[in-house]
Order: sequence, then C-alpha cells, then structure tokens
Amino acid sequence: MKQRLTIQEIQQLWLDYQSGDMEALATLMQAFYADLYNWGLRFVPEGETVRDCLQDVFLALWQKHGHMAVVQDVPAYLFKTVKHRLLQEYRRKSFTQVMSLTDEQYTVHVEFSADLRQIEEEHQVYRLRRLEQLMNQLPERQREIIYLRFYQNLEFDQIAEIMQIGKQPVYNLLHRALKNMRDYTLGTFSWLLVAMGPCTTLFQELGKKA
Amino acid sequence: MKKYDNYEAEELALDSDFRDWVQGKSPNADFWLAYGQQHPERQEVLRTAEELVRAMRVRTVPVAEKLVRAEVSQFMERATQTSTRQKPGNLSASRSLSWRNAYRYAAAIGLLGLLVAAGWWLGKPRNQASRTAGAISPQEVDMAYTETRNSTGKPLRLVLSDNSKVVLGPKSVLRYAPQFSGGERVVYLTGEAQFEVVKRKEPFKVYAGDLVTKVLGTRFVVRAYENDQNVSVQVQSGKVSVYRKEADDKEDTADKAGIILLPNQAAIYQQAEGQLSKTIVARPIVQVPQVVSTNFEFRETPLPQVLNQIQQAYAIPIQFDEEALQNCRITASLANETMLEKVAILCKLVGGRYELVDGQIIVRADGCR
Repeated sequence: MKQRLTIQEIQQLWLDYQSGDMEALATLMQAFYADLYNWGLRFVPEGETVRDCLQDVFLALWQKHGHMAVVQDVPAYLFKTVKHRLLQEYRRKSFTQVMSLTDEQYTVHVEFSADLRQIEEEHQVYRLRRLEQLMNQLPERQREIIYLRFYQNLEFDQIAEIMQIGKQPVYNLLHRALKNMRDYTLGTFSWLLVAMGPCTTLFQELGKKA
Repeated sequence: MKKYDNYEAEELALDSDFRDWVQGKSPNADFWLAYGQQHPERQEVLRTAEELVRAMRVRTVPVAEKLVRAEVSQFMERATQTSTRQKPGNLSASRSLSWRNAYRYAAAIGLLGLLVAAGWWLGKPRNQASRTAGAISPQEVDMAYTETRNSTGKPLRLVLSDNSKVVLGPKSVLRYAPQFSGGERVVYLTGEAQFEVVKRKEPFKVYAGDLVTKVLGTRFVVRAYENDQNVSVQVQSGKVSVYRKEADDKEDTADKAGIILLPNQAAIYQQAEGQLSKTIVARPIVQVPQVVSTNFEFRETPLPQVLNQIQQAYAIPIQFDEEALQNCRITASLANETMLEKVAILCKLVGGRYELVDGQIIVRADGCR
C-alpha cells in the first residue's frame, strides 16, 4: 500500500514549492505520479505521451513557482491541469483531422472490468458480466465521474473542479448513472424471470422488487 | 455507525465504507456481516449495491515504483537545468526537441549524473522540522556558522538552507550559515566544491582565496586549495561573475574589475600575480543539444559550417576567417572528442592551429584550394 500524504502535508509542500523549493514539488510529483499517470491514460492511451505531459506540467509549475496564484485544492488542480494539457496536445496533433473538437468533445477511456473475486455461482458471474457491459455503455461523462469518484477517491467538489461543472450536476450525473444501472438490471432480470420461471431465491426476490 | 436503513442500493454503492467492505479492505467487516443478518429485508439492496461496486472496477495499468522514481528524477534534472537558463528563448527551442534525448545526451557526457542526483534526493530524509524552524535573528546567524570539513577521500554532498546543493571535494572545508538570512547567501570555501545554486533574488557568493564568485542561480565548480597558487572557477551552466575580494566592499554598481563567465568558461586567478584571466573548462559540455542532431558527423561539410556548429553547441565563441576556410571540406566523425580535441583535429586537417584567448578559441589557418 502506498503512503498517502495528508491534506496538511500537501498544503505545506505546495507552500514550500511556491517559495522556490524544488524538492517539495518533486515530493508532490512522487506522491501523485501514479494517480495522474493513470488519469492521463484516460485521455491519451499512450504511456510515452502521458509521461511527457506530466514532465511538462511539473516543469511548467516549477518555472512559475514565484508567481503561482493561490490554489485551493492541490490534487484537483493537478488533475485538471493534466487533463487540460493532454486534450490540448491531442487537439494540436489531430488538428488537421478533427477541426471541431471543443472542450465538451473528448474521449475518456474508462473501461470497467467487473471484480469477480470470490464469486463462484454462475448466475452471479453472468449478472456481473452483464452489468459490466452496461457500465461500459454509459455516457462518457458519467464514466469519467465514476472513475474519479471510485478509482481516484476524489470528493464531489474536486470532481466538479476537474470537470469544470457544478457540484450538484456531478452528484446528479453519478446518481443517475447508478440508478439507471440498477433499474436496467432489475428490468432485465424480471424479464428473465418470466422466461425461466422462479428457479432461485435471488430471482424470486428480484421479481418481487420489480 | 451511520444509519443505512433508508439507503437505496446506489447510495450504498456510493458509501466509501461499504465499498471498502466489498473490496475486502474495510475495518468494519463485522458490522456489514451483522447488518446483513439483522436485516433480511435489506439482503437484496445489499446484493445489488455489492454488484454495482464490483462492476465499477476500472481496468487500469499498474504503475511501477521504479517508473515513478525515474520520472521524478528526470523532472529534477530538467528543472535544475531550466531554472539556471538565462534566456527564455532557449527554453522554447529545447522544448521542440524531445527532451528525453537531451537528457540521455547529458547523462552520456556524465555532467552530474542524474542517478547521482536522484540517489541523493531519495536517500535524504525529509526533515520538515528544519524547514519550518522559527526565524533566527541575524546575530544568532553570525554566531552560528556551520563548518563542514570533508576529511573522507570521497566527495561529500551537502544541501544548504536555500536548497542549493554542494558537492564538497576531499580535504575541503565549507563554512556557511545554517539558515541564510539578510540580502545575500554567503559561503566560504577552502578546497574544491561544485555548486548547484537555486535561483533566488538574493545573490549567492562564494569566497575562496582572494576571489569572490557571485551568482544568481547556476552550476559551477570553485577550486581554491590553500597550498595551490591558483584559484579557478568553472561554469557548467548559467552565468557567474568573478572578482577580487578587495573589490567586494565597493558599491554594487561600481566596476569591480571582474569578469563574467558563461557556460563552459572558467576563470583562473593567479594569487601571486593577482591576475584574473578567462579561459575555457577542460571538458566543455554541450549546452545546446539540438544543434548536434547529426552527432558531429560531417560529410564534405565546409569547415565554417563545422566550426559554427561546434561553437553553437558548446556556446563558446570560435573566431575564424569564414571566407578563407570556405573551400575546406571536412569529412569526419567527432562524436567522442572533447571540444578542444575536435578543434585540434579540424586544425590539423587543414594545416592550421588554434589559440585560447580570453575564453574564446581563435582558429588560424590559411584555407584550402
């Protein structure tokens, strides 16, 4: 398990960095590298490009250490900057092919892969596979939110800042995604119930609920 | 524990403790087991929530610790280089080139191995206490000069309170304030040391023998052993000014009769004669790697073009008669030679010679027919 910095430590490192401490910035880079790298791969699935981007982001930070504006939330700021930089880079590269890319039009590669550990029963495996498939069909913005919330463990206001939308829409989008998902599976299974007859307790319960 | 009785499945799936439990890392595993048993009517909600959590696992690429360390080290190396760069123009130029290659190049010439820098950084315990230590009054600082004497046979790494790094040579002594204060950062050196100075608005001064080396942020070596007649200052990057100690008390604006050193230039002060002269370092380092994309391979290239490439790459001026040498065509591979060796070979090829004058190289040759 990797060591996490506390919010206070992050803030202190950021202050040290602002007053010209390169080592403090390097410590922040070390602490956030894996998360930011992973995040970067969501937009451009090429390790080399993402690594270059992270170098550029931190180097740019270093170069303007004396005149950085106040940053409320360092992790959110870093996630936002990396995303912005990669999308810019992507747009620059693909300028001739895709002229109309705007801030709202970008691809997020968030692929869900159901956790089947300790799942033995075949129908459960089937359900999870089906759910996984449905998750992967969610709109990209919803998948991006799920990724930030559950994989990166970020708070709603952090996600709101990274995605440049309000906090409430973030919450609504996430909630809606999960609710649709549940309703969808239940719907599917009530249909199965009719077709197969009540063969397991689970299906009976699902039937009642539906 | 919270009351979960009214939670819908998706609300449960959003609860971090519930999620941890599904993933087998909750400290409250007993709570969830008991909750399931005590609330049979909630079984299905729990199961649905569990499935949501399981389905939400994102396919990701694991990031090795090794990669992180290497990338952080590269950042440190790059940041050190750019922070000592004087012209902003240089920066944008080097960006267009893949800096990874530039780094490999720098590492290959073994300037200050990146791995060395990285090892130093990772090995150093972080000492938050020392950074946040309360302010020390100027009087206390005067009382409290630290003296580090390297009596080992190996170079010794030090870091000063402004995060400037010093590699102190064997049998050398550095005296400095444990906490820099006031308008300048001052250290006293006997022996040899390489400095990597963090750029700050307070100047950084090295007193060595009768010489003062003043910088804003750069990398350079000062050599001033007690039994040595000469004091030398060699610049690796950035820009420094060097002048005699007696000139130090004069006003800053006044002419200190010093010299300005650019990368790859050096100053030698002969203590006996009191003479300060400019020359170049023994092994100049390529300063502008994008100039040498051809890696000093030349095929039927006019000599002026070759010399221009060399002077640009090492940022050391070479004086020559462009017109006279235009007819000299050079085919040579000069990747492994030092700058002076390169110039020497080229002179030999055209029957000329070179001189080192005031930190510049002067090529004297009659030309070819």
